[in-house]
Amino acid sequence: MREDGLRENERPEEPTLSRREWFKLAALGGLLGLGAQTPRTFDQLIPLLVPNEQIVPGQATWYATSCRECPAGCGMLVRNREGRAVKCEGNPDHPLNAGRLCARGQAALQGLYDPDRRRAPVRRRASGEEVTLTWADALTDLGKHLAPLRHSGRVAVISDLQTGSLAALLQRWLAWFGSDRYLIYEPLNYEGLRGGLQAVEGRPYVPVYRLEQADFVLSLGADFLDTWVSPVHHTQRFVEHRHGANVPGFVYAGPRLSLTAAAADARLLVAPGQERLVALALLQVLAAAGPLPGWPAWLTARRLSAFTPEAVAPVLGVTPGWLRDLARRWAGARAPVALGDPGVSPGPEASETAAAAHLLNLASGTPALAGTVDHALGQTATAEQTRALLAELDTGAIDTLIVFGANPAYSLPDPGRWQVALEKVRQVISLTPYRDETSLTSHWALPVGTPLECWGDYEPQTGVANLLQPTTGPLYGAPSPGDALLLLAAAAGCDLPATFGASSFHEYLRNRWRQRAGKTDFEEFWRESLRRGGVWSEPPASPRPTVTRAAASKLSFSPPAAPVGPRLCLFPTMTLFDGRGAHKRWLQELPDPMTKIIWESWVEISPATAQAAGLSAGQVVTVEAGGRQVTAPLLVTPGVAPGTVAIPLGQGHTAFGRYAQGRGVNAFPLGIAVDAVTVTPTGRRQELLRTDGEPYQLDREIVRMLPRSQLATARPEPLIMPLTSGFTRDRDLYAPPPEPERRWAMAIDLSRCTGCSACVTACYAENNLGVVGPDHAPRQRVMSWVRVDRYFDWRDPQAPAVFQPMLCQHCEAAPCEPVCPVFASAHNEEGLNMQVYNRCVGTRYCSNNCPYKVRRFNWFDYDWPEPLNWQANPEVSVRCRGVMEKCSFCIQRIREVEFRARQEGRPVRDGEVTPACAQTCPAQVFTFGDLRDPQSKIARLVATNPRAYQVLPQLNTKPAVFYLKKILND
Amino acid sequence: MPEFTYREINQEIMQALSRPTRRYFLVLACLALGLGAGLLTFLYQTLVGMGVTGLNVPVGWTPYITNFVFWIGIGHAGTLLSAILYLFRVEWRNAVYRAAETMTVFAVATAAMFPLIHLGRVWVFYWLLPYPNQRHLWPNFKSPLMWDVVAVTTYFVVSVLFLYMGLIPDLAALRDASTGWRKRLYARFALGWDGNHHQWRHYLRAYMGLACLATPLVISVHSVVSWDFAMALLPGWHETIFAPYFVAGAIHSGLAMVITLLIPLRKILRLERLIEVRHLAALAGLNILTALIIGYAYAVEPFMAWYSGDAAERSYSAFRAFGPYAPYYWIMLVCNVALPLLYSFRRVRESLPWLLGISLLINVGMWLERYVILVTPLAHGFLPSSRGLYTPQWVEIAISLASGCLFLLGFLVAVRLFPIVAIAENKPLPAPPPEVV
Repeated sequence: MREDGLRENERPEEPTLSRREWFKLAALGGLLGLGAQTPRTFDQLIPLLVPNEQIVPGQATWYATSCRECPAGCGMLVRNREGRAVKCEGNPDHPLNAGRLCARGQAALQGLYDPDRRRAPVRRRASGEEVTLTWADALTDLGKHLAPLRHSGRVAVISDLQTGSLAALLQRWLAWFGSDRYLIYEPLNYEGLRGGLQAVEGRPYVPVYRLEQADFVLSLGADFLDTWVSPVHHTQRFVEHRHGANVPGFVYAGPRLSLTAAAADARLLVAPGQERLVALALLQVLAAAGPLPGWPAWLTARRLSAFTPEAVAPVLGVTPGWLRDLARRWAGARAPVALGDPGVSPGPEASETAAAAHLLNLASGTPALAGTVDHALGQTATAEQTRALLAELDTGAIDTLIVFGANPAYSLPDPGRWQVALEKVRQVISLTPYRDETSLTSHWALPVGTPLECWGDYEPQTGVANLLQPTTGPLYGAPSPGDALLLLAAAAGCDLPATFGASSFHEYLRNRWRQRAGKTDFEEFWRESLRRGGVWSEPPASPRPTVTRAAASKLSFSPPAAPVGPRLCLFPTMTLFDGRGAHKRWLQELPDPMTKIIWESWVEISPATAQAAGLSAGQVVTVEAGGRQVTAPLLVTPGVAPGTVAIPLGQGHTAFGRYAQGRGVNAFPLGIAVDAVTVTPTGRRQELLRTDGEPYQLDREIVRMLPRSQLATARPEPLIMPLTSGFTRDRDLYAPPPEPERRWAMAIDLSRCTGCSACVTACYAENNLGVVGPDHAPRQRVMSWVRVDRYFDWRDPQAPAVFQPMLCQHCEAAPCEPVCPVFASAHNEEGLNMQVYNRCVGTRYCSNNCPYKVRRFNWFDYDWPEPLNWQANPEVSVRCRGVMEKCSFCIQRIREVEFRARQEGRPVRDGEVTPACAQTCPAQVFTFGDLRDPQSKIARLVATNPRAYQVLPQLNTKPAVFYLKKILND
Repeated sequence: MPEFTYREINQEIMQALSRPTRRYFLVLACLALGLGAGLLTFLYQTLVGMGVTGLNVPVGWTPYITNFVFWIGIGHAGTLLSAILYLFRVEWRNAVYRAAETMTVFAVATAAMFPLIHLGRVWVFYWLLPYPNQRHLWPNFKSPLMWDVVAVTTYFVVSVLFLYMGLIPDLAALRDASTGWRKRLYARFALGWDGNHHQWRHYLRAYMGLACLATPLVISVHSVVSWDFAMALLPGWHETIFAPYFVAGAIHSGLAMVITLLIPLRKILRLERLIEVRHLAALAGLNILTALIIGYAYAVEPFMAWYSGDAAERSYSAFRAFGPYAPYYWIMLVCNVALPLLYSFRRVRESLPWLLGISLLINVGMWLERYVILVTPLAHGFLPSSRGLYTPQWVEIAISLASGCLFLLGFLVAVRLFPIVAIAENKPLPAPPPEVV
């Protein structure tokens, strides 16, 4: 055969088009051309004019960077497809999070693609009118304004927590203006914690403990599995540790049933500020019982005589014996550690909780503190420093104020204060990607890139230096904050190379990292650092912290007393954190793990408090503290301490994009006073927007538990395998399908699950799930393919709240399959239960017949406002209205791995396929693999484990999702 | 029946086909308006999405399938009266069966729309039909929904045929008596009937054959409809009693609807002399039987839930009786079982106001029964975490009301076009009917 498809010696056919025919065709073509007048638009698959040779269509590129959604600074890999960042995942090499991310990390892309992002510089006239300018015009204007300020010292900067190059650049930039007014503003600045450590150890810092060294953990209000300091890091290490050889005991005392409290073996709910009494009582008992080796001689029982268990117990609402038992456990532990944090409350006992806990650690001489490192949060401004800067603004000493990354107009405890201070400042320049409250009160709002588009570095804790790189091109051409500052300086007449040694922030960053490279080749070092996502080293062994007599002599603790009236507890949520997540609709639509409330704020009080105040669930109440008030619907739950009024932070934005604005209430203004809180009904009633049906298991054995003492003797549950072996003639009408080559299955360890719901958001990101919004979410229409069910059992002191990730069980005898009239719900050759969107006509019979209720129906065509649609995973189709959808076990990931394996001519390796939920889970709850391979992790886990069970086994659906019973430590 | 001559019977029945009054047209116009509003609402639902209804996960079915089962149930009286009672040679059937048959056809047609209305993607409804196609896609005959498609279409076709078959001699009579467009219409459909002996002989055989064919359908259609639920595994649906329970319920509602419709109709159409109170009383008598059957079913359900010892079943039963939908459940019990038992009294049975009141309430009760069957098991599933309630929105209320408009519109037009009482069968035969050999 020849290349042109003709046989040898065969002549190509002569063209037979005659002249007449040619004319006819030409005329026809011309007519068609005239007819086809509509201008043709071309949809570009690759949004690049000149193709970038690094971008291969259909092939993902991964960029290592650092998550900046909270100060924890986890390592992140961002998947880029065809030039667009489409998925965030944890960096597996990173020392903090080892490949895991929380829900906020997963949702970082929603910040990048926020449809309400600023696109051009805006100048606000005195009249309030906004004028949109080009960058060039804005810089010319601002340059004229900034140039005279050289050496004046009348420039100040407020930013969120920045370390490394950007912080250095800022200081250099301020120095050029002759100023050193740089405020690192974080709404959650751990001031109480730092104050407590200062009191005991003489040094204020935010510690990152190595919980994996402890054999007993006592948390006093420190929600280290929720949001405290570095939650993914803590969850990952601590949960792993709790499932290792030496299981540490874990006791919690705090104002509310947080995820951390729910994970503890025993918990005590006490009003905020009272947690300290637990530590002080322990100190008293230990000192009285004959001190431990190394116990400081001055710390005598007599000194602590006010805190005997007998004195403290009535205030805490426990028996003295409970406290003595706890002291016995503490004394019996080899390496106990106490974490104390008063949270947001600035009350008089603010630092006492942390101080008492740390004193307990140091006096006991626990080895668990070895290797404790400083967290960068210790560098943030205290409330005093913030007040000082505001006072300085009042004097008119500052001409120009730059704000970026921070949103003080929203999160300052005194909202009016910001406006007052700004009156005396001539120019406030906001560098922000968003339309947040602060930028709306500024004279200038300059759009800068989000951390996902920018170069940068961030050192969250000693020994961990993250490198940030752009994971996608800058949207709307926004410069990075560093570049924006350099542009401003250049506009003011600064000679950038002379002043900064660089003319771009990228160059500046590289220059600084040259120092890290040392003697190695810098380019090599730089490439390697970019690839890994940073440089990490074992921190130098710090001297063992000791309590000094000098510091201790000043220590004093207020005596135990029951609080007067309800006390306020403001807490950051898993979803919105301190409010910076509020503009991301994935986070708004992620139910709060414990209350399952969505898209709004609420006020939590206990049934006893409600009864005393004559309040009932469903009422809208006004909470007043220190003269300020907020109004929100009431949640009455035993999951909050009596005498406590708990309000989540994060909602109540007056700006900040369409998803944040006008939702819930901002509780920051209440934070100035914690005592004498009043709760009064408004007379209105409002059902809370929540996604859970019934909060109790009703004895259905859906979440099963097993005491650790019975673990060794427990007999395995009978499992109905989703394989041929699971079919018996007496139980099954239909014959089993042919045995597949592979049988994908999942195991979910309920003992590990903390309820954090990172899996839910990961699924949104991976599978293009629709967001239904606040009107439809509480009407049971949330589209999440995996949800985290939470069941309460208030009678159970060990597990009052348990969590269960619930997703499609991929049953072998799936109830959804026979009922579908068009085979849209079908079994595939690997045992997966598939949903064929194209074939689905939307009878919803499958969902009705699904006992696990994991199927999700597209009630509408869910909207993806530009550019949120840029995030959509190109491997997963977007479903239209009227179609059923559900978990696919991330079939696109399975296929990708299978394709790669086939290309490489090898079988698929165990553990090679990881669904998005399993990939991100900080607690490593999920195990995924091939059940037919007896050597696979999942097969071994299920085969021998007395904890393995299936949900609703009586229905004989033969689920391929196995749950491992929650272990109760007794 | 009073003694009529053949001519008198012809006149009695044909006078009902005279030009309706203006008020009658006004009613038709209102019904058409209601139907139009429903069609627009359906268009809105199709364009925007099923989310405009109150449905959710877990409650994926309630409003439209409730209507579907309700209308199919209504459609059971016609075939029962025309086929089964024909086979049993029940004399009083002659007065009422044509009205019941007409009602059946429109009720089934109305019902058949609901499976389409409730589809998420109604524009591909034809995928539910087994038609040959290039892609070799075939519907799933394991699915009870496919059984529905088959059962309902069969029932509809047989009902239409049966109605038409019975009409043929009457159409011929009308043809002979009318002029203008009516004559042309009746002539076309009378199929050249001239009433000769041969025609009658074939006709009666065919009619008997069709009656034999239609009789099992009365039982099968609603059994199949009940399997939509019984084949699912939800507590409250997964019950073996469902088929007889549904059939009895369907006949119950169908009879009640016939009574409800005939009482005003015989007055409007001045047919009191043909459709007598004793005919209605006979229908009411049948209602006592069906009320007893469904009463038994209602009693068996909670008993079986208790007797099974299954936590989910017991919890469901308690939810149905005492949960947020409990009022509907109790109203349904009263309307469907307690009130029809009053028919045991001759005075109640033969009093038009009582008949009308009770039959109307049975209709309400039977609709509520289907509503309770649909919504409560879905709302109260296996996993407590994913329970949810259903609240109707204006969309499904509008579409449901429009379905009533469609049904009444069709029925009211039909009774003015075709004799609502069988002419031929009300004529006493001069000789015993020819033996069917």
